[in-house]
Formats: sequence, C-alpha cells, structure tokens
Amino acid sequence: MQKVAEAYTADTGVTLNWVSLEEGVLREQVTSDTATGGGQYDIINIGMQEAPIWGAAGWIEPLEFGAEYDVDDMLPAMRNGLSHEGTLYAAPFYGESSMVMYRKDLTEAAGVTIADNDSWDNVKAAAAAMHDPDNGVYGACLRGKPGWGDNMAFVTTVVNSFGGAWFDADMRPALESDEWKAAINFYVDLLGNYGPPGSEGNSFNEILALYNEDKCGMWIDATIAASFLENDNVAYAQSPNAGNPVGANWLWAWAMAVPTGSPNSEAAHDFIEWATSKAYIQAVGNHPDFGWGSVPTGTRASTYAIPEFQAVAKFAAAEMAAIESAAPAATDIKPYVGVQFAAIPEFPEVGTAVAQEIAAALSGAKSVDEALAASQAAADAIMSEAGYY
Amino acid sequence: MSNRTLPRILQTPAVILLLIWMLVPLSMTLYFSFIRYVLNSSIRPEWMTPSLSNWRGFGNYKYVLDAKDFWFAIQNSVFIVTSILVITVVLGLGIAVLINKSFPGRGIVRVLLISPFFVMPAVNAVLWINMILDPVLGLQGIAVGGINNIIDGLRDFPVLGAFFNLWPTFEPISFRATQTSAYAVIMMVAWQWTPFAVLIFMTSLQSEDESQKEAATLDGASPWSQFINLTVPHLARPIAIVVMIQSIFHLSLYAEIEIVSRGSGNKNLPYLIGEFTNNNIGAASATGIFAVILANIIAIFLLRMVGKSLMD
Amino acid sequence: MATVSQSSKLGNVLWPALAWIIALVFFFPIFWLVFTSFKTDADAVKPEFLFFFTPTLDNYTNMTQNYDYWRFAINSVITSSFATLFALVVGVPAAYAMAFNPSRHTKDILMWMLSTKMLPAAAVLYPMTFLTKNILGIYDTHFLVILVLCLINLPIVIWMLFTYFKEIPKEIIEAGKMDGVSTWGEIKDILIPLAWGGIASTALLTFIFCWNEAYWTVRLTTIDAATLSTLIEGNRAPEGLFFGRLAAVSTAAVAPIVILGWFCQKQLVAGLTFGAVK
Repeated sequence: MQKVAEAYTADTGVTLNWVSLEEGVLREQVTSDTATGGGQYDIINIGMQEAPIWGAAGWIEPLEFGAEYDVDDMLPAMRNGLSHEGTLYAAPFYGESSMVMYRKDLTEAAGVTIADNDSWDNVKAAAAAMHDPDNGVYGACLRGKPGWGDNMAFVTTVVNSFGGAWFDADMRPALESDEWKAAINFYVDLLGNYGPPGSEGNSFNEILALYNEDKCGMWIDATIAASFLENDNVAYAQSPNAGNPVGANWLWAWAMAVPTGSPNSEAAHDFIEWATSKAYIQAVGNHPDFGWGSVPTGTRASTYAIPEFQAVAKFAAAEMAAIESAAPAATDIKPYVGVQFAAIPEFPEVGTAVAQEIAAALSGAKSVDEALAASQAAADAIMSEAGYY
Repeated sequence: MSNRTLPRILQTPAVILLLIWMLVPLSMTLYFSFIRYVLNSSIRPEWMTPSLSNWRGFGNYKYVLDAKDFWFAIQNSVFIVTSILVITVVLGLGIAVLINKSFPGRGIVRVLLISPFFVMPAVNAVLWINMILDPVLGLQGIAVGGINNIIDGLRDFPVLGAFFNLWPTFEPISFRATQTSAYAVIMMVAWQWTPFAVLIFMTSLQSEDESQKEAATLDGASPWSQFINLTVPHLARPIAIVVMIQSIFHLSLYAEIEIVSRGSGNKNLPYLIGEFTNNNIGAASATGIFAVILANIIAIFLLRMVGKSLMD
Repeated sequence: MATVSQSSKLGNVLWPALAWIIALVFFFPIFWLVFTSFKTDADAVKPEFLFFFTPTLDNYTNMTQNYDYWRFAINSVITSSFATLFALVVGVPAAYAMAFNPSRHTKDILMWMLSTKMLPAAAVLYPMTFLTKNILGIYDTHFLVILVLCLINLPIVIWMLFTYFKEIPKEIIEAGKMDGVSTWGEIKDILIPLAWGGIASTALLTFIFCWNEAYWTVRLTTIDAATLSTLIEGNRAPEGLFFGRLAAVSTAAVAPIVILGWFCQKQLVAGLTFGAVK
C-alpha cells in the first residue's frame, strides 16, 4: 500500500507517514491514543470488532463519501459490519471470510474428498488420511495461538457451527454448554492428533509459512490466505458445517477510520476515500510491482467483475460465496452482532481469557472440561464486572 | 555554604526528578484503582470518564484478587525471576572461573561470551522462539527431523538395526505451550543475562588474593575445596549485586512473555496488568498497586542482603 | 608429583577447550541470526539450505528501501546518547554527594531510587499517554524519549557511580577542600579524572540499556521519535513468517550496540564492578 500511495502523494501533495506495528501492539497503541482523545494518528487501521463500538462511543468520525465512491458497491456484509445504526464509521481496506484450503494432490493420493460445507466428521477423516508426520505432512493446520483474534477466531466458528454461542440472551457467558464442549473436544481432537507439533503457537503467519513449505494437508483460515499460497495443487471448499443453520466461516475486515480530534481530518477523509475506491483497486492491479493478484479483495462487488482479477484469482468465487454466507446478525441462538467475536467493548478481554484456556486444553495442560470451566468463570466475572447483570 | 546543605543541593535534582517520575503516575494509578474506570462501555458509559462520582472503594482490588490469573501471575513472577537468578549465578560463576586463567584466544572467548548481553530483548525472544525453538521450521524442528531420519536409516542395518529399532521417534518440544512457555522465557533471559553475571564475577575474581590460594594448594587443598572455601566467599558480594540488579530488571519482563506465548502459561504481573489495560483501567491500576507492593517487599529483602555492605 | 603435572597438563588443554565450547554455544544464536539474514525468506526454513545456500543481500536492501531503517537508527543514536549524557549530568553530583557526605538517609534514598525501577510500566501506561499527549503535548518527541530513558536509568547510574566514588579515599577529596578548591572544582578536577574508568563503564551500560529499551520507546512514540525497537515491533509478525527479513532487521537493530560492546569490552570488564570489588 505504501508504494501504491506514492502516486497519491504525487497527485495531491499530501505526504503520508506510515507506522507499522505488530497487531497486538497496534491495538494497544491505537486504543490508548483514541481513548485519550486522539491526535497522534490521522488515520487508524481497525477491525470489524472495534469499528461499530468505537463509532458508538464517538471515538471515530462518521464517513460520508461522494457519489463517485459508489458506497453501494461495497459488499453489504462489510458495510453493515463497519457501521453503527446505519452510519459507516470505517471504510474496508480489505475483507475476508474463512474457508478450507487443501492440497488436492494429497486428498487424491489418500482417496478422500472435501466438499463444500462438508461435515466435520468428513473433514477429520480427510485430515487423518493425509496425516503423514514421518514425511513432514500434517493433516490439518489450524490456529492455536492464544488471542481473541487468533485461535478464538477459528474456534468460535467451530462453536457456531455446533450451534453454540458466547453469550445467552441475558449476555451471560454460555461456555460450559454442550455445544461448546462438543466443539472444543472436536477441535482439540482434530488439531491435537492431526496437526503439526507446536500448534498452540500457530496463527495465520506461522501456518502460512508451514503451508508454503508443503507441510499441511488442509488449512481452514482467512480467504485472503489463498492469494499467498504458492502450491499449484490448492483447492478450496466452503467451511464445514455440523447440520446447523450457521456454518463455520467468519467475517472480518480491516478498515480505515479517522479518530475524532484528528487535526487533519479532512485530508484523512480524502485519503480513505481514495484508498478504498475502485480507482485504488485499478491502481494496484496496474502497478508494475503488484498486479491483479495483489489487489485487496472482499470489499467491493465490482472487484469481482474485473476480468483481469478473475483470471488470476482462482479463489475469488469461493471467497465471495464465503463472505455472502457469513451470518453476523444477532439471532435467537446468539443475541449479539458478530460471527467470530461479539461486537461489545468487553469482548477482547473475555476472548483473551478464554483463548489462553483453549490453548492450555490444546497442549494438554488442562482437560477440555477444566478449561471451559475456568473460561466460564473468567468470562462471568468480566461480564458481571462490566455491569451486564 | 555549610557542609550539610551542599550535598543536599547536589542530590536534589536527581531526587526531585525521580520523585516526580514516581509520584505523578503512581498517584494517578492510585486514584484510578479506587474508581470505576473503563476505556469503553456501552452498558455504563458514565464509567468512561474518570471521576470521583464513580468511587468504588476497594472494589477493584477485590475484583483483581478474585481474577483468574492473579495468584498465578504472582507465582510466575517469582518463579521466573528466581529461576533466572539461580541459572545465571551458577553458570556465571562456572564460566568466570573457567576464563579467569589465561589461555590461547581468551580475548575472543570473552567477546563471544558477553555478546548476548547487548541484544535487544524483543530480538532475543523472536530469535529464540522462531528461528531456534520452533518445532517445525526452527532449528529444533529441523534437527529433530534430521535425527529421526538418520535413526530411520540405521534401522535397516543388519545387527545395528535391531538396536536402533528400540529407539523412539523423537518428538520436538513446543516451547509455546502452556506447560513450557515459562521455561522458554527463563532460557532466553538466562542466555542474555549470564554474560552480565560473568562480567561482574570476572572482575571480582581478578582481585582475588592469589597468595591465599597458593598457600591452600601447598596445604593440599583440592581445587574444588579452594573454590568453595576461598572463591565463593570472596564472591559473596558480587553475587548479591548480580541478584539485586537482575531482580530489578526481571520483575518487569514483558516483551519476552508477549512474544513467546502471550501470557499463556508464563503470565507475570506486568503482563496481567497489560491485559487489563486493554479496557479495564480500574483493575489494571489495582493490579499495578499490588505490583508496587510486591516490588517493595522484594526491595526490602534486597536491602537486607546488600544494603548493609553498601555503606561500609 | 608426576600425577599432578599430568593432570594439570590435561587441564591446560581441557579447560580452555571447555571455555571455547561454552563461548561458541553462547554466541551461536547471534551467529545464526546473522547467518539467516543472508538467506532468502524461502530458503531460511528449508532443511536442505540449512548451512549451504546462495547468500543474498536482498533482505538488507529491502529493509533500507522500504522500512526507513536509517531514520529509526538515527533516533536510537540521538535518544540513547542524550539520555546517557543527562543521566550522568544529574547522576554524578548526586553520587558525589552521597559518597562523600553521606547522611543517615543516604542508604534509604539509594534503595528508594532503585525501587522506582521496579514499578510496573504497564500500570502507568495509560496515565503516561494521557499526561504526555493531552496535558504536556510532548508525545512522540525526542525530548520525551530522552527524558524517559534518562529517568528509568538514573537509579542504576547513581548507584553504580556511588559505588565507584566510595572506592576513592575520602582524604583525596578532603585535601582538595583544604586547598580551597570549589565543589565544582573537586568534581571536575579530582573526582572525574580519578573515577574516569567507572564513569565510562557506567555510561556504556546506560547506553546499552537505553538502546534496548522497548516498552516506553514503542508506546510513547509514533513517527518522529520512534527508535529501532519500533522497527522490530513493526516487523516481527508480518503476513507470513519471513525469517530472512526478520533476521536482517534484527541484525541491523542490534549490530551497532553489539559492535560498540565488542570495542569497549575491556572497559566494561574493568569497570563493571558495582562496588563488588573491595
């Protein structure tokens, strides 16, 4: 993005300073700056979990763009997820769902198949069939690193597909429910038996490296991963399902927002308008250093209609289907907004506490029941402390 | 100017600077620890502004005392610091004695040995946990895989094969797991700080009374008993100093904890505070006050240990 | 007698050999970091290229072109140097007063100073951000970074200097007083030359601690005053696990201080006593 934006600076004379930080430190920095009235950053990069909450708190400014921007072109799932009460607070730089990415050569050799929305049992059987640790191939590479945006992003989708949810209708945590127990037992079983050693330290980055070293049979993770995969035999399938209306795919976007109190709010707004526009997609696609394989996906319907993009992005159709089938809205089963998170300010705290317990269950330091009991107690304390009940 | 006022004036800038540096944040922390204060809340927006009307008394303290990892974090803080101290002092003593005598290339050995002390903590952690200890892509994973392959190959040999068939296939150890992550932190920090201990012990050894040792040798004392009876007592004070300086630094370990496993299994008090800081400032502040209390308990302990000889 | 000389002969080979092995083991991780920095990201995780590979400087050119290495490095040099300097300027007089005119509170003051170093930084992160940004308006300035680095190291500086100064016989200073030398003259002409070794190694150690500080430097800066610690934070978890790139950035961040340490190691070895030598 920095390189593409050089053209923006050349055109407008607006100089841009970039700060790149590790995700956890980024959140900490951006939160402490924004919560103290902003001022350090003109544009911040936040996720779908934060955008609606920060918008509601008045920390970030509402975004309105001109007709040329064509806000209706933005994928509805993204637009809704980044809005609070119908007002857009952050513009998606890229969006994603999750899906199964597997090695077709390995499934064929093992005589198994993975279908769209397959059952978890079949997925596990396929992982078992491909699992060959002596030759450095592991059946399933899945997230295990503790963090609400790391292991819990995946784990929550499994729980969702088993019919569970983080909170009940009174916003009391429901982590010791049968659905959670079944889901976590399944997850620990699948990843513990057919995953690479040290899975409790793996998240997106680590697994991407493993996958590109041909060490993974399948990987269920962000659709964006498909654009980084080097192996020619990659095939895609929609996320598994356990017979419930909700499948195991998430919905996420990284989006740009303007903190309230930014001294350069107008310039910031203009830059966001450019960086999330159709023109930006064209600029990346036509840039000599990047090309159509690197354009940000998951944000605009029009991107998927560009022939050059369709030609290089084999995963485009699968990604679009996954994004469209994600169900962030509140339902009878889950009374909160969000797929793999709950759009409430306390979620990161709850998610972090539970994430560490699930990692402990995965590495065998605790049993699943112990981990869930500890999770429930911790989540209950946080929610009651926060004044929910 | 009298003899008394001048020294006071000279140390005043330092004392005032440190007082401000300590008191201003500490009083804010103390204040926050007694009120309800969160960064963001949709249920109770009034808690988002620090104000006396959100007074809570000891509520935050009670909440923190009951929090899942509070006692675990205190235990870990102490465990990690103590383990690092034991390892660095023992290794540091051994190495310092080893390189005390002159031998070919001692200068280079010394340079190699003290190098880890200059490495940034974040680089140290990233280097160890990724490039060296990763169970698949790191050196550990590659080495374990290599050994397994060699053993596998040897299994086909006629007689030897029977022997190697008894060998297990080695499993790499995951150092990011809940059970092992504290050891990973201890290992990497001990690697970095053993050179510090070596540096201090080495200097002290050079001042050791050689004639005493020669006399002991003539009396037929073994090198080991010389080490125990002469060298270790001579090093008592440097050991106390190594322990003290390191305690000060390691009580606030943060980057290593974060990079290894994000507090899963190795959470210490500063990291727990960091977790609360994401939203619940009241709880983070109360934990901070507990950390200050812990630091003072340890400071009193250290004072007893080195304070006496400090003024001699 | 024969056995003694034999065992000592064996010892003459064995102990140095052991010292060499330990030194190499301790140095190995650093060697590995530098070694990896010359591999491409793809080669860095492949067993077949463990030791034999085509070395490349790509990681370094990439780093200087895309990550503005020099800006971070210059900030590190500026902030660490000035913080060290100010810590000495404040610390030398304080340690002088404590060493030569101790009161019955001196010990307590020293210990109190050290205990300020044990305060958990995370607990005061939020007050500090608020204070420096909203009230003082010095967030992300060199001044703030220098001030903070100076303050967090001041206790160690004073303590180290105090222990060196105590080694100097009081009579020398007293003699100066008799001759009517001013306090400033005492410090400048008598104390500093006498304690020069100690002051130099204090400065070195402080510089190292400043350079390696990460918690505050990362959290109280954004662009203008960001140091190499921030560069590391930005690179330690990119999209994918790029060992080669990570190794190059890490090497470039620690190389200046490690090389400085090598050149000054004699000074460090001679001076790093903390008053441990009597």
